[in-house]
Amino acid sequence: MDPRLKLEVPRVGGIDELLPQKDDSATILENFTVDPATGGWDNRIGYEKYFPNATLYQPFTTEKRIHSLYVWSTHSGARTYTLFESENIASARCNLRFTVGNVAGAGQIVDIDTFRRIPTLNEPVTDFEPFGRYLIIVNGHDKPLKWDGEKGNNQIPTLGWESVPGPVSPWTPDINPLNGALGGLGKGQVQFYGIAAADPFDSATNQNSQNSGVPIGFQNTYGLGSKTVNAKNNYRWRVSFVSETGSESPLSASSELAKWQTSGAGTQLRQAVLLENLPTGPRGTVARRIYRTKNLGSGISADNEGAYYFVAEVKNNVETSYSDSTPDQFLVTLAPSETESVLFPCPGARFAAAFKNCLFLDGGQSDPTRVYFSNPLNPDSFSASNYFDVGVRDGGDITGLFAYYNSLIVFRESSVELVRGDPSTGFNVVPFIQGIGCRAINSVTSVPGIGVMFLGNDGVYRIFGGLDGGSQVQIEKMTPNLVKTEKRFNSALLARASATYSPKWREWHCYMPVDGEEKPAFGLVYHVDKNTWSTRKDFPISVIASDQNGELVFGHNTGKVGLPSTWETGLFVVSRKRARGYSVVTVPGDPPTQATQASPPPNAKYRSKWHDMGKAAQKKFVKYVYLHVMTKGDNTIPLTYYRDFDYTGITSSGEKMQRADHPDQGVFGTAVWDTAVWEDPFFTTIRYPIAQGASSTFAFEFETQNDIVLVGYSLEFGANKTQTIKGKR
Amino acid sequence: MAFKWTEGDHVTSNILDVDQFNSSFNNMKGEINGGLDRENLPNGSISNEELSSKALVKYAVQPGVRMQSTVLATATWDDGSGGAAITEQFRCTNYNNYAGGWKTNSTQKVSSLFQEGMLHVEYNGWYWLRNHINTTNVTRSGGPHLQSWCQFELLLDGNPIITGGRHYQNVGQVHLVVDVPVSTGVHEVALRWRFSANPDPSTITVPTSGTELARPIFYYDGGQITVVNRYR
Repeated sequence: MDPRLKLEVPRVGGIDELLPQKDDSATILENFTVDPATGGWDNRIGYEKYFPNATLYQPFTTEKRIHSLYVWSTHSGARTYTLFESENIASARCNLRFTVGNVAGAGQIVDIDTFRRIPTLNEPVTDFEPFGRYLIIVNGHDKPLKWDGEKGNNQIPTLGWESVPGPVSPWTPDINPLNGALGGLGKGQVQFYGIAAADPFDSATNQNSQNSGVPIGFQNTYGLGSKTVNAKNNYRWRVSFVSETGSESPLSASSELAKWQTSGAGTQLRQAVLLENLPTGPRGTVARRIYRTKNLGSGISADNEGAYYFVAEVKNNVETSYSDSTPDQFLVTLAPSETESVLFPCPGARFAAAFKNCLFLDGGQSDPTRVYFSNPLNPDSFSASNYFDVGVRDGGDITGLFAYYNSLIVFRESSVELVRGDPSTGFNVVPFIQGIGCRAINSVTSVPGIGVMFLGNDGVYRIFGGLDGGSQVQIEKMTPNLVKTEKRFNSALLARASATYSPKWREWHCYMPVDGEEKPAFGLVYHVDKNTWSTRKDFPISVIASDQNGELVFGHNTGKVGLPSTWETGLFVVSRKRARGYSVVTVPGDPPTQATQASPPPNAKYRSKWHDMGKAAQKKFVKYVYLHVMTKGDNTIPLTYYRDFDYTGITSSGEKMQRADHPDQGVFGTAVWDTAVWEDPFFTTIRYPIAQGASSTFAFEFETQNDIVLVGYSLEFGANKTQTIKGKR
Repeated sequence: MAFKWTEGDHVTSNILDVDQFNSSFNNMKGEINGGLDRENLPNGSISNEELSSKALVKYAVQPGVRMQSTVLATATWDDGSGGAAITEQFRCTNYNNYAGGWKTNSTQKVSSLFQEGMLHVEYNGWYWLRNHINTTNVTRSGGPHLQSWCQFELLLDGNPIITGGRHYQNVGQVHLVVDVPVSTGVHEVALRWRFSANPDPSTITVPTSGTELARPIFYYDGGQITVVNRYR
């Protein structure tokens, strides 16, 4: 009697490289996604052009490697900006651009910033962070930008204040400061003149005598200075810029004193003072604010400094003068202190994160352990004391910032810290964990139900939980079983790893350089629904991002390099297209033209775990492998089977993915119009006979470009009492 | 959304998977049934040919806007050669009827249902203003000649949306143009005007005779308010 035994794997799982492997696991699982209908593995994936119907790769014509990518969706998705940064074959610099519309052609790419620094192979690429209606763009080299989605190249305001406004020049009222006589300084200030005044030009004195002060009737409520006889009046002004974000710049230096003495005879009047040289601000300035002291009084020659008060806001960035007639009693609001807004402290910022209404930035390469944060809701204004230095603890440089739940995660080379608090009670930074770091800030992703996933120095981790309501922040390694794959990572270049989560595919994709290569060419995919891992190969992904619908957009890792027939350039999308990109072919004609032709689909490879059937020492004779699949058609898929970890196996004949004991379902290419029907894929079992001797462990594999949905499998085997022989000496 | 990529790819010798077909087809259909936006409509894809009349705009016009509650008043010119003063009657308002401040022409206004979008409002008209050059009784003792002026403003639901500059000429054209965003609903666009207050604002000197107050001062006519509502 042949005692047939059966091993059933109803639903296959993901990769497990830790021996002995888990029951449903796979040794190799390459280029698969989860089939939502069965929970099995589906290889119907590929990638296609961002503009599928475009001629060649238009509008991408000159792009080499795409270094950074960000999909900024605004207006409920109606305005989606796909920003990317690429080397250009015509220059040795990067251009930051975005795509427009969905018709490829001229004008479908708009430059945001050109001649940007090309990131080195081991430094993080440009970081994008939405802040209100702006997108903050930092890369550690070029000036940090704040982009509103509208402005083009050379029009985008930079982040923060780079300079202090210059002081205004007050015109001292045209009265002799010594004796109060008219026409003293001769500057001819024209401010107010009495309604009862005669001809403004006094022909008797041949002098301008119109500065007789604020009109009678207004003099008690308007004007500067005292009405006391011979009173000495002194004022100073300061100015600040206001940006379109509402942020206020540092205050200017104090102006010169405007000083005069109230007339000793006749009517004593208040004055208005003309402020000249009102400074105009940099790009993005929408207003200027004017502050003034109250009357500094008798210190006519003393360099008095008093408190400054808000006088007025000049709501433009054009006018260069202002007439100040606001009396002292109207001055109520104190000017911001000198420390409330300072010059932009981190022009070399590499990482940005919005947290609790504040913009957090790192100090850049020259200040790599410092985190600065803006005043709340004002991304341009930074107080003098708004920073932390995490360099007081081991952990290395800051490698990224990421807001999560009620904490801001500060990633460092070998530690993770948390920023807690809020702008009203103050922020503080607390150490979270030492020994685990993250150099790959572009891999940090928030994944629903999982937490924050990131590529650490030795595998993928997640941070989950919070610090409020009795919860606890925890960290966990998610790839303890990918022991071989982890060793392939090129740890020197992890900063260029790129990851994103797609709610459409329900997958977290992370692409990184492996095997000593310089470009990301290998993908690690976490399948949320199956809580397991697979890998991606032959997807030329330099950077990846998901759009508002979860579509996986990526930038090519090589671009326009090499022969025209082989290069692909620009942006692409991971989709159900059964193609692994394109090649360029010549279309005969007069003249001949060139067109892209879809390449064959990517190879999908599945190798089962090494089965020992529960007892490795006993020899087994595998008779059949039954694949539980969904019917896919007439394309055949052969199986290769191995024993005892051998490198080479035996390949079976290919089997169609059709039900074995039923008529075949109709297939594409043979269907007859008006007769054939659309087919449903059926769940079926395909039997592969195995012709192999006794083995301690058994595995099977298939590698195919044909469609397959593998749900599970079973092995039918026999076993006798043959045991593994004695070990060798 | 703006773009759709392959949801299902039919490959030769594969079964004609209905789910793949439906997925692709429904995506396309969904795109047309509500997914279209300015991102995926190519430039020039919709021209005047595709638009029915008034599909995107509505307009309203109020012609014949003129000053309300006017009187007939007499202006007097002195004859420099010693002859009798010249008098002329004007339809106008004067300081017997006007004490200063903005006055709204609430009789001739536009009140209509507008859709959310932009409202382009224009006013054109002419005015007549008596000033110091051509009539008597406008100076005050010891002071300079008075400069009288008039000014126009357009209101949207009672709020000023554009204020013209002051007009000092005897006769002139008024042209006000403004664009403002509006919500859906009935909105009212009206004209209001003012001119310089009583010609002797001095607290010392008061008008000495009723005759001065009865002099014609200001009039406007031939006005038209045009409102174009561009839907969003």
